[in-house]
Amino acid sequence: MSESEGGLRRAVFRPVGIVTIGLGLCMAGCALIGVLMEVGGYQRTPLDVGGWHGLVWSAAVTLALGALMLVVARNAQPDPRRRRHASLAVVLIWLVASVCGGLPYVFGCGRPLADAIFESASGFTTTGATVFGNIEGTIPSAILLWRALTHWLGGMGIVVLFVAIFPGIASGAKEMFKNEVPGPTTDGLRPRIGETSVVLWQIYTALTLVQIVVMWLLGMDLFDAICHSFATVATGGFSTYDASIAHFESPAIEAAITVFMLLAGVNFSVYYAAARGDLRAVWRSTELRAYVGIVVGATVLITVALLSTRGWSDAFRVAAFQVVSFMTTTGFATDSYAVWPAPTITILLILMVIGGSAGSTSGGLKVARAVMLVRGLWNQIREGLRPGLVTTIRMDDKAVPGAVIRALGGHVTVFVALLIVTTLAVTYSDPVSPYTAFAATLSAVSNVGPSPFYVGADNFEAYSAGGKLILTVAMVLGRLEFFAALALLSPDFWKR
Amino acid sequence: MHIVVIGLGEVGRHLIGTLESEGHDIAVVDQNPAAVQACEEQHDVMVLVGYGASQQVLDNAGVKRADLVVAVTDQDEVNLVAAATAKALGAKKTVARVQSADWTSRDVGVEYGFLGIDVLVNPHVLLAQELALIARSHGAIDVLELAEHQVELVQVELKDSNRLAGRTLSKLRQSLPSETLVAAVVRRGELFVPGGGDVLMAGDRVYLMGRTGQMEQVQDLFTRVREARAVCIAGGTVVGEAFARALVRVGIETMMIVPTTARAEALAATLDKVTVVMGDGKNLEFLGEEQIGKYDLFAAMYADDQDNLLAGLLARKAGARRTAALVHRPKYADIYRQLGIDIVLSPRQICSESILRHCRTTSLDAVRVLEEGQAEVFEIVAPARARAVGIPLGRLKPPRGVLIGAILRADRSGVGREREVVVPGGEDVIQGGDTVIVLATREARPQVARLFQDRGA
Repeated sequence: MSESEGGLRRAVFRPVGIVTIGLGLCMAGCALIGVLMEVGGYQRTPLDVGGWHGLVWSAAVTLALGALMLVVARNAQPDPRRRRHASLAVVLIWLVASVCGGLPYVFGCGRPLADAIFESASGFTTTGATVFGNIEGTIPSAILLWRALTHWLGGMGIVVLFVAIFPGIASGAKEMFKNEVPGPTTDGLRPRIGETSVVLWQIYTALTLVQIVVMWLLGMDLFDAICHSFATVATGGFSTYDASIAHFESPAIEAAITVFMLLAGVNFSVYYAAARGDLRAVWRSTELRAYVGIVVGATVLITVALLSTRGWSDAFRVAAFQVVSFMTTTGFATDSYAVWPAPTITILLILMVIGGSAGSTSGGLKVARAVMLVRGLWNQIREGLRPGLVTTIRMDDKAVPGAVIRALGGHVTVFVALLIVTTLAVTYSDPVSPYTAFAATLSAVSNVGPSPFYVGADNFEAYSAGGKLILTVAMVLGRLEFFAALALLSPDFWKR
Repeated sequence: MHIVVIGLGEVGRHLIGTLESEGHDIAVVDQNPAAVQACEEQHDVMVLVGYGASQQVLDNAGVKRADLVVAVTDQDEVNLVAAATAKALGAKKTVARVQSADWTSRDVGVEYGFLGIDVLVNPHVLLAQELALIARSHGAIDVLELAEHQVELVQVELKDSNRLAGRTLSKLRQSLPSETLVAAVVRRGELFVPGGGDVLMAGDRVYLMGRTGQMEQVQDLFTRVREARAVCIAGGTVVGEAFARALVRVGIETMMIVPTTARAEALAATLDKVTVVMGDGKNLEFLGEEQIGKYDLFAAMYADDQDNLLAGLLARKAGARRTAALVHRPKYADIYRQLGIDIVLSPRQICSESILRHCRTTSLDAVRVLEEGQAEVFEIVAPARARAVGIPLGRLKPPRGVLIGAILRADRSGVGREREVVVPGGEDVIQGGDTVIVLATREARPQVARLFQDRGA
């Protein structure tokens, strides 16, 4: 390897280092809030006394690591082959974030590293699966705040956030952005990628602030309001209580969270169009219509299925919450849905596969892809019946370009392959039934979180270290929509 | 009048022929020396070999003192630059043709004032709109809208089997619905304005005029065709695409047969609600498979005349109720009709007719030109002291070759209201300020001018 080649390789550490330092500062911020809470005499649990120490250590390690990376990248020329550079940078960022983000659980809660990495990756990927079987008794408030913050930072994308703050973060900012924003097409909202990131984060922040106020007005204390709003708008699913949203026993809070989850699962470009007054674009959005249609349809089906055991208003309340929670891949719970009738669970599983809208914070295959798949299938049937017929898939009254359709096929293939391989791996690593392994895998790949179909608890504490790492990889692959990460496996990637 | 024509295509040559016969001074610009030479040999015009968008060439052609500059080369950009430049250099009136896919996708047939160009004509859009009107008619072979859609001029063909054949016009008038009249007859290519004693013959093409909404009833006397519900277009041309859009807009089921995969995919992507099929519209088996017999209208819209003729004839054989075909060389139109194509439209002819409308400087501005200039239709605002004003039409006795088709009453109640339309009988009187729709043969044009001249001055 020549001198200049090494220089090119090293340049990748610049954006990674910047992001790492940013994360370190966020940890330090959470620690500071922990200190202030202690000084102010606001204690949620006895753990809060000195509970912020772990965060201080973690922040120190993370900041040091980030500084080291910047030193390594010093004087390095950016790689002119931006695409590879960008894929590598994004994957490294997610790797470092998962490891560093887990340090507070090691230093502050005494967890093994595999647990910590799982929890951290689950946070950043907005999965919301937890290894903590006893949240109230093990996690200090400052770390709970960090835990919620990992959701919020990962929701719109760590890279997207840093591109918004530092538009010059890396020569491949645009490619990095494309690698991280979910969905089949990433139309820039604004001509410059930095501006697009800013717009996305403005919408995201506004939605979060509104929810914090609403939660607070409905009776949550400010701490819970902030943590749950972070987890809702990012469609994450971490709660500060073992019982999740059911802890509050408040239909008003449930209803409000249902609405905010639903809003977070909408393509953010729809909000951008609405803010510009382009209501026509909102109305014509194929994905939005399908998204709302699926939510309504699934809610009706599940409500009806639950009528045998409860009244219709109660059935509707829990059905709507759970449908939206799974469709948007948030994973909050208000009811022990594991004991619901089998068809309702199947419906929830289907919703987990579909996921929310492209360009939102949710995971899964995305509604846009599901719609294109169905329309493509329908077109194939028509073409089979009538030779010569030429069809196109339309979204928002526009034909979908061929390149997007080809990418769609690849994406679905990888999605299914990842489900199969991971399910297989989990059955090797842990003594679970194939069904449980599949449900856990789907929950991880679609970034949903709880694996409700597990007999017993809906957390992942019982899994082995190997199983946790397998699911961690599945979560990150699912969040990055595979290709950025899988590109690194290709021999071509490492060729000069 | 000094006229500059840029571009010696089919349209340019046709315009030169017509304008020369009307006695104008004409300068012609084209890049092709052979075409220019051929033109010089045929016509008494000044010729220049050169690039139409060049300022120098335009200057040499005398656009500064030109009353009219017409840019009709095969390149839209050259036409636009030439017309805009000519206007900037001082030409009184400029007309340019645009016809690329991009311009056509705007669906604007005639545009005034764009880029400072007085008239921008898109023949593809004009043809698509006209053909869409024909598709919706009850068997008309041409439909022209007048007076902002309030009056229609419709052409029908009198078939051998029709009981109207052999009747005098005065007898026919008794069975015509109210507010309609027979405006002109074309017999063996010759157009005339018929009088009460004239007899209609099988094979005549008849122009009928009347209030929009009444015309279907008149057509029903001549044909048994109904409004098209399903239309098949063969050929993936720009004009075909424009026609498909015009049909979809009015809710007609539309199928398009496109010869190449790439073009078919492109059309399927841009045309929503149109069924696009890749295939050969000149293959009888394929037409059978696609059940062409179920379509009310089959329109052959290929770029090549032979393709259009063949596809049209095969579609007829396959059972399509009506067939339409484009003809790029207008001289073939009669042959098409003789061979059995119902509707024959020429993009070139539509283009030259719509340009010729704008080539007059007198107060008489033709809104339509019929049968290659044999007759014109005018919309004239009658001056209060014109000869035609104030006396019943029965006593006015318009001269031979002139027909007063409709009177739109001067709007005294305000702006933007629908005006009252009168399809006149002998007792009706033209009032000052009324807009009168007049059809006149070329020879009768001076008589029209005399009838509506303001004698006040």
